[in-house]
Amino acid sequence: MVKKRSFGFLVMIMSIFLLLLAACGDDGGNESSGGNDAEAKEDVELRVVTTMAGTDPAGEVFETLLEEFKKENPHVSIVNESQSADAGTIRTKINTDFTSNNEPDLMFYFNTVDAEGIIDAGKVVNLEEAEGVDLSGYGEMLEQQRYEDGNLYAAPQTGFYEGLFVNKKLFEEHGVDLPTTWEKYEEAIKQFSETDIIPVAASTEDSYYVVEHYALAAGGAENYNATLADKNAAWAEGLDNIGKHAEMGAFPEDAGTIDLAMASNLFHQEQAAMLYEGSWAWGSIPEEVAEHVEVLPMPIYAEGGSTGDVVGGASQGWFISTKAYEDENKKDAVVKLFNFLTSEENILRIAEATGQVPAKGSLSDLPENIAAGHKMVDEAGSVLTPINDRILPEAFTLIRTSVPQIVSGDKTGKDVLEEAAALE
Amino acid sequence: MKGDRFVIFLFLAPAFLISAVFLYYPFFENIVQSFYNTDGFFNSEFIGWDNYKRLFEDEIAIGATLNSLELMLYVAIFQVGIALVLAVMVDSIKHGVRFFRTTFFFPIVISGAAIGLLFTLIYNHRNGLLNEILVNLGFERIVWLTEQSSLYMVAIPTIWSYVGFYFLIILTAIEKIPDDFYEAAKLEGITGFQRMTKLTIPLIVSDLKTCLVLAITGALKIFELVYIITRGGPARSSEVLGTYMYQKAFDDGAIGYGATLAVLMVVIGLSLAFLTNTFLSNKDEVTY
Amino acid sequence: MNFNKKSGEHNLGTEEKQLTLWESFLGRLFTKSKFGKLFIYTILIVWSISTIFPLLWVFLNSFKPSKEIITNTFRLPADPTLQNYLNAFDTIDIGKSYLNSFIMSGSVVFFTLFFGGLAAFVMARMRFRLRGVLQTVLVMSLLIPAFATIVPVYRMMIDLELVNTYWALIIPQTAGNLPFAILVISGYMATIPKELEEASLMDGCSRWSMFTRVFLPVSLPIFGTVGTFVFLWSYNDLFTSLVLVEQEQVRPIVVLLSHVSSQYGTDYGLMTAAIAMTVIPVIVFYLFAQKTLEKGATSGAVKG
Repeated sequence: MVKKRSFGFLVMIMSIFLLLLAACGDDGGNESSGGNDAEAKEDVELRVVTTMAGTDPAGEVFETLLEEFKKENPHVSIVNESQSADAGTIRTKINTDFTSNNEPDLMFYFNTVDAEGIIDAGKVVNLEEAEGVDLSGYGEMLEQQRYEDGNLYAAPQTGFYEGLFVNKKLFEEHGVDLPTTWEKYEEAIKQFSETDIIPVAASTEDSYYVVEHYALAAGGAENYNATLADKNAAWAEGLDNIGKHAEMGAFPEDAGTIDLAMASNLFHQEQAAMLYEGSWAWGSIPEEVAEHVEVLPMPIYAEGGSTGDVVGGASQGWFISTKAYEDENKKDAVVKLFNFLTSEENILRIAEATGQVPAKGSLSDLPENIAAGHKMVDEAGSVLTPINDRILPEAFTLIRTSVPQIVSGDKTGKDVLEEAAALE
Repeated sequence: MKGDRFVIFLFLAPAFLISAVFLYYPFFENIVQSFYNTDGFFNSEFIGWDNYKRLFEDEIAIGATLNSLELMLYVAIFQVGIALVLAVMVDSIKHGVRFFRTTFFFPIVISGAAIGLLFTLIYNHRNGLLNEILVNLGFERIVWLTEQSSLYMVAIPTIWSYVGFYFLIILTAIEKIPDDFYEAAKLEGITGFQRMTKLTIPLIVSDLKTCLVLAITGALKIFELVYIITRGGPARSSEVLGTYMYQKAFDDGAIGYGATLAVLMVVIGLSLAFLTNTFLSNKDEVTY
Repeated sequence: MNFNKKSGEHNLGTEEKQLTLWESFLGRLFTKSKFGKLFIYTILIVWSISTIFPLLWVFLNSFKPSKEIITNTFRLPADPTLQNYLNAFDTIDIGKSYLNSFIMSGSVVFFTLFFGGLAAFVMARMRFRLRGVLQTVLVMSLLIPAFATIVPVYRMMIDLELVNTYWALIIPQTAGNLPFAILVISGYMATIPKELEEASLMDGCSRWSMFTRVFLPVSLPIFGTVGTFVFLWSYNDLFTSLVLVEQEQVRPIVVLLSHVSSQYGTDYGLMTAAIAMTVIPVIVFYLFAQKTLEKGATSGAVKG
């Protein structure tokens, strides 16, 4: 008896699934094929891929912008295929799309080594020569996007900066000077390491910003901009400095295994006095802590270097795919959408949500500490592209993940750079 | 039986056809990629055996392989071992069977990301559960994830979270043994522990073999928990093939070398599964 | 009652006297002695506490604000809030996503069990030349990592114009789970009594009806177990889902998990709420389906 009933149960469940599948599978199929052979000329479907999704505060604004655009242009429908960059699949998806003739019409993607292949293959439009594309109103940030062939393929939206976030309250309470020079920075490490406060909240493995800033401190802007093949001595010195500071107790005890999020958390809880991060980090610092947090440019001790140079730029930009641009049906719509999204008004709306530096115009009414960050960028002698955006990703990962071995004394900065350069 | 060849073909065809197109063919592409220096998309250069040569000189890959093998040993022994003991125990009781078979299953239901975060928060140096207990008891904080301990510390959650999986398979297998077998055994005076070694285990030996093969192959693919809890560290002391391959293929976009690591994984896994099968070959198999 | 061993006929009764001390100790544990039962229950309860703990942890934390999850993760929520759940509802169309998940993962289970069951039957009960080769191929398939196949699969789906339809997920996940299903089910079928097969042969059953009338019902518990795991893997497979079925009208519930972090940080509150929301229906379904997995179903059939 039991046998029959449970078997029936299984069969029932399965048939329900099949029914649902038959019922719902159809409309799923229609919707997706609709875009490929849109016969009617007036109706256009645009596919947009961005990283503004999920908890990204820009995601919500972006959705609203798309709605507004659709309202103004009722003949355009937009498929928004945004996904968080943190999920790790966006590169795979974009690259496969572009090599399989399935590219999105408009995308907001990394204009770094990640886009090189796509650009070299002529899959995206040179914006300066594209008919109807409006690039007016952009400042310096646009120039930074220029590709090595002299053309512009991506238009920035917002910029970021990296820097040394300091908890001023902790510095005051412990009578420590703010790390405006390298000596004061080392002194701060020494003094905090004698207290219960961790000097620098950092992961030595997930150590993008630490590596970059130590290289900058040791080398200044000029050496910072060196290529990996140079095996720049200042980079090696920077890496060795991390090891030296680790010995002084600069980092958490478990810096080799925690990730940046866990490390940042020490800073958020005011258990650590300093943190290397990017401007996006403001959003996750609790308000009551952020009140007495300030971002400082990395103190540079290299000869000829000047403190005030910052790492930053705009890693991401808007790309128009050649395929959409050359498609008579889509051309106007995609250019129009591009101009709409990169208009000063809309760039500001997104920047407002994220607190990042807008590529056009400027934000007013910013909280003091965020405004200070924007000011730091304005006053910077030069804004430097992050190392990991311009060298072979494999090589940077090797450098970054080798830091714990430098800390343990198994390797020197020079060894690591040589290993990394060999990968190129 | 007449027409058996046709039946064999007909029954096997759909399964192997689907797998062939959507699993074996992609893997074949993967093997092809392992002969290229490639990001898998626009930049591709045929380099023959260079990726394989690199593999044998790559200290990180060798370390990761050894770590994977060590982890596999723990997984094979403890995951399947604990699962077997628990399954036999649950089978021997009258009350609460359903409760245990439900609760043991929980860690598998929850995604690896959550289990990973949980253990991160247990091991964390400054604010972790273990150190909070130590501090409350008046001891000093301990760094739980050191170069010496990290592999064991990731082995614990890995083993623990998947015991339920083998537990269910083994329990299902034990339950297929008809009650009258036990009754007959009882008449012959076989009870307790003997019943387990002489009756239960021989009767589910083919299921146990399957479990071992699954444990060995599964251990090679371990990725998520290690990645979240130790990030392969400190200083690569807990780097395993899964995390290293993920790093190559995703962080680094080095699809070609990542593909080579995937091939290495399959080769190691196949040889070990083959060895397991030879060791446990039909010598002791019992049918009833 | 026969115990047919392929090698060495033991009389099971005679070795009783050669028990080591350890064996007789264990022997006593597993008998009906009160001490043994207590010992067994203690171990089982301790283990189940360890397995209930993470679930409880997820649920409790899902009612805490995000930062409290890191700072006070092992305490009760100081000020319980539903905000995380509200946020989850905001980022995704929950109802539709549940439906998508159940349709897709349900279909994966169905196809895997159906095709896998047939193949397992042949692999377990019939002898043929390529059997060894196929067995090796199956083991190999278990080792193929999803990262290694995703790009070719995605390309095929683009060519077939199936991206962002249910089939885009169902087909590759079925392919990926079949080897596991075949191995486990055939392992189970391998030890089903020969007499059963012979009896059905004498009844003049065809292979098909031998499968449906004898092996399928007898193996129902393992089908249930395998189906449960296949369902879970398919349901929790964020990676494949993000590549193949990311669009709003087809995306499964697990995609919610990818929404918990961005470059602006990870929202741990949303994460625990998302996990709770993905886990609850599975556990409910599992409790409901328990009857299918239980002993009664099989012993009756084997005796019959």
